[in-house]
Amino acid sequence: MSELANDIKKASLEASERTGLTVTHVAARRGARASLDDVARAAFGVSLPSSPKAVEARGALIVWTGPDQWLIVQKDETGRDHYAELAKTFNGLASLVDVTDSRTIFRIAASRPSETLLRNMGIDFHENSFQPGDVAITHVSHLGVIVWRLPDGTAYDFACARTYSREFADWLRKASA
Amino acid sequence: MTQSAQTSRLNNRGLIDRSQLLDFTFDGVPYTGYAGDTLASALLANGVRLVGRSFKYHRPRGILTAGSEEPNALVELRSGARREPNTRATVAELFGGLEAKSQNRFPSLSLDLLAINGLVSPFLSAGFYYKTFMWPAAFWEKLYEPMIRRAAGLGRAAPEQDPDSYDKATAYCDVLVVGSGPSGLMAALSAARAGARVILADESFAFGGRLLSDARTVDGKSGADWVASVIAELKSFPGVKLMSRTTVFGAYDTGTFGAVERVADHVAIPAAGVPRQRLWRIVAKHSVIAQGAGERPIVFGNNDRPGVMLASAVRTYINRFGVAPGGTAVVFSNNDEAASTIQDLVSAGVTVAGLVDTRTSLPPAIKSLARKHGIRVFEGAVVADALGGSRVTGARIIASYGAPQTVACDLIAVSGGFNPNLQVTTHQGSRPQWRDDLAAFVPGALPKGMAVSGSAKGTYGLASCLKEGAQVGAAAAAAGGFVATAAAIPTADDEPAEVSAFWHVDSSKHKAFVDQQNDVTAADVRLAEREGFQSVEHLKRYTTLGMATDQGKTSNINGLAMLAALTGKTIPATGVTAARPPYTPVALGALAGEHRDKHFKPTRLTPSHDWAKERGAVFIETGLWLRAQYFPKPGETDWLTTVCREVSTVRNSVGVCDVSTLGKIEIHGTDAGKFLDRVYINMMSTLGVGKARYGMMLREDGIAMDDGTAARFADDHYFITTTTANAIKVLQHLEFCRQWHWPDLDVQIVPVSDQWAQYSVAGPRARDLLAKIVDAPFDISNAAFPYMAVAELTVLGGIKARLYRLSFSGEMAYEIGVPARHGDLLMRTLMSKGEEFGVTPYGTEALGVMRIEKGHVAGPELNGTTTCADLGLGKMASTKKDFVGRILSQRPGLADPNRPRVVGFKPVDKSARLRGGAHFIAKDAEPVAKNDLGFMTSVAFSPSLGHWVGLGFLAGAESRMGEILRAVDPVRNSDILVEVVSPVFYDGEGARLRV
Repeated sequence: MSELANDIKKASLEASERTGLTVTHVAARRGARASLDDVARAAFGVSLPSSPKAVEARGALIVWTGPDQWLIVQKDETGRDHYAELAKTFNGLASLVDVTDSRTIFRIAASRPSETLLRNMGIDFHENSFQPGDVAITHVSHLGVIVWRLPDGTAYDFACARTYSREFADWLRKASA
Repeated sequence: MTQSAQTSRLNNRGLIDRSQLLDFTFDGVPYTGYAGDTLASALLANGVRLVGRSFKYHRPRGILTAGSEEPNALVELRSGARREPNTRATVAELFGGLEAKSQNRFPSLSLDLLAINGLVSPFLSAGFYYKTFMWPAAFWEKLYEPMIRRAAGLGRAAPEQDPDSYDKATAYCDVLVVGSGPSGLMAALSAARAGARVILADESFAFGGRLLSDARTVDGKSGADWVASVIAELKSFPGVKLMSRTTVFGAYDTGTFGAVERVADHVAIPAAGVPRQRLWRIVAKHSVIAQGAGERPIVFGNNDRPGVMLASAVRTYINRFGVAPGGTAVVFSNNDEAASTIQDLVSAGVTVAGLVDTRTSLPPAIKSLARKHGIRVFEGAVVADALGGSRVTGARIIASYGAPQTVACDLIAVSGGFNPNLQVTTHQGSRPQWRDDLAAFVPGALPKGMAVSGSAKGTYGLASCLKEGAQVGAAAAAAGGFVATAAAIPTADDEPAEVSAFWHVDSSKHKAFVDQQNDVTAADVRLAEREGFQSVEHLKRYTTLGMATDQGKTSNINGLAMLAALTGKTIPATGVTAARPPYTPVALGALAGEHRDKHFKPTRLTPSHDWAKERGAVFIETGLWLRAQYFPKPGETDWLTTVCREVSTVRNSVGVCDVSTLGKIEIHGTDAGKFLDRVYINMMSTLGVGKARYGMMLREDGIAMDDGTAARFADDHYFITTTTANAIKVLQHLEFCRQWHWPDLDVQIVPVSDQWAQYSVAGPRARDLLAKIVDAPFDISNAAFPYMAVAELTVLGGIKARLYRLSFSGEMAYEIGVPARHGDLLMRTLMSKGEEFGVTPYGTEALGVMRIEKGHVAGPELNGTTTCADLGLGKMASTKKDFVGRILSQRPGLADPNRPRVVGFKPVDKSARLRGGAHFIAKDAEPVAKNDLGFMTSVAFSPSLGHWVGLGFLAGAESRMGEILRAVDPVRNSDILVEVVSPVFYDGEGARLRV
């Protein structure tokens, strides 16, 4: 992915590819939503969002990606297997899949995106409409992308399929030119 | 050398920037203009009146309007790859170095030999295409059409690819205001002051609309100064976006609008990184359409001569551009705006030789104005004909009494009243309504969230427009939840705007044009009506009235009014043609945006792509993927040599192929097995944990959809693969089944195609190679990990991996998956550790050769028309359960035992080449369609066997084993004898898989 980093550097973007993460897809088992939420509250101190929101949860970010589905984004820590821990925590209540390598996550560290980025997104990205903690599943230039704004409002993350990540970086560069 | 020095430019008048002198050429002749000019105003300033030739009769044409409705002044701009035909000179913004050319003339604009068409016009009447060029039919394509296309038509497209870039963008707002005339400005101001997000779009490069074109006073300031003060205030709001040079061309569902912004049309070459145009999708909670009204001409003889101009355009050229469009004018009108026209002409020093008004009794104010300036008034009169050829020299006037009179002039300022520009309000199906008092159509029922304001609504008069705009803008903001009050109304007067409907002078001697762009005359309309084309939609199609770049903005209403008179119907009963997007022409480049060339679709790269590139792989596009096709070694100049080497190495030692493109889907849940039983034709719930099985899915209609493998990692956890091509389709199908057919099942589906780098490691030494990378204590021996086993393990010292004992090649083989970020490392390690075995990477070609040798079906066989039985997989279908497609696969047509089935073919002459697509014919039969027995789907040269092998569908396949048939390929002139054989050419017993 060095080429990607290079691309981004050339564009002198405030964007970076996020690495050192574990991303786990969590889908509630049928009928287990309520119990799952109890377990999630005990483990993370928050409920799993039931609308397009991203919530901060003891260092993890829980991102709604569909009805009864979430991505849990965690920073890697030496000696810990986040996926295995989650699988244990949610055992029997949810199906878990390690999708760390399914998507590339780009971060634009800004309290609000640039004007060009605003106009190149298909969704209403205005700061009043897309508020801290908001999530959108949308597409950009033929590429599917999940966007979330960090709950503290300091950055935007864009998760696109890994095999499209160079196309996405290319778009990001053009959109920010 | 500059030809003339803007002889028609008025001193101290106009909104042009006289400090910026711009050079340009027209038909190669150099001229000058000023910043703020359009090409049309600059040409008029230089005394150029003749700018084009008409579509059909090649009549000389000038400039009729000052806006986007222009039918005549179409020119080519720029040269070479940037040459751009059919641009309206009236909207083309002048820039230094602009090259403009007239079009549709030969050899020159002033001497056009094809003007002879005018003399043979009796043969070129309405619908002449349909009547004249009927026989012989064969001549149409070769002779008539090319001839017509050369003689008629508009400009020429550039021969080269467009060198500029185009962009697409989206904007959201609370209130979109379309048009920045008095009403639009007040609407934007009211909404902006309430705190709403406002977009104000105007097609011109300057905001202000008619306030720039008419000499009016607002709040004691000139129109232009008042506009400047409003724009300055609007700019001070952070939530306001001002978009000049932006045409809102269409209204779509739920407040979505299409707009095109001409970002760099006003410069010779766009700056680096700047698109030429940008297509906007504007999503507005509320919209205010304030696009004003367009003046319509009156149809009279020779009304197309250069020098006949809409009265409002005359005022625009005088007031906005500081140009006198003529020296002596006749004003021909049916409404009160004539007063403004006379005042502006007089103040510009143009002699007004006469006011011809169709009304029998003019308002006293107009009469006294005319008297004041010594202007002759013709009441109840018409201009029957314009005189002159390539320039107007006079007007033949017929009053209600007395003999016709001729008045010398070089300008006829004509006004037949105004048509509200309501097109955008009708794009979602609403129909305009006729108002007799205005003699015009006004918007009908509006889509939700849309309002219309000002003259676009039929509200004429400056003060009324300002007031209505303020109210509508405030209402739009209030509807969006803002506390809004209408902005204070600036002081201004309402000008008189009485009109008396008048469409067409029937006492003309000369051709009278209804649609100047399409050369449709009054006689054509009469003829069409006589021939039965009595609906406006038929009239349009038959005569072409209202078609082309102007979409009849100056002709539709006149045309339908004439049709109404001819049919004896009222205008509302006659109706109006539907206006569809776009409102004005939009370049295809803008619609395509950045999606051209390689950006037409995204490119997906495999995890080993960088490594394969370094290795010198030849790549092939397979759908969105770029895959390695083969890996030539130095000295290998022929692809077949390389592919044969790759196949032989796999068959004799070991090879590695990136198969990450296969669709990969995780199926979880307590009902995962039950779910898979319902979507595969074979049983999956009985699959043991740690095992994989080949599976086939059908479409609902019983046709084979896709094949792949299912692996079971736990009771409630399967991992399935699909073909590369069907990855998304299968995922959609499974989600549909899960969400819609069986929501009661506990099943969760997660696509993971991008998660895994997956490589096939195949060949007799595959195990030896993998043994070098699997971490202890994993036992990779045949006994511990037999054919069709699967396991989770770690490799290369702790990387999570999955191993599958699967084979597509027919050799002892594995597929190994690691998280994609480790894919590059895994490939490089396999290559270096495999050196001692002579490992080779292999690409899609070798993959294909080996699957054909093994008789595995793939894309060419799974082609959307074949059943399981056709593919030789009929016995796989379980009879103990139901599954998607089962019932319909039993339809007589699909269950017919005589359907062509997959079999193998080899050439009788072993040196002969097989051809995919060749048809099978009995040895002694004639190669005609009725003798067709089937066709070849896949062919390959088999290095293992030393000759070509093929798969194909053959009728009555089972009884034809061993038969010799002809394989006829008329496309490539091949006709050879082939033998029908088993589709499995290599290791029929499958012994090599299990070692």
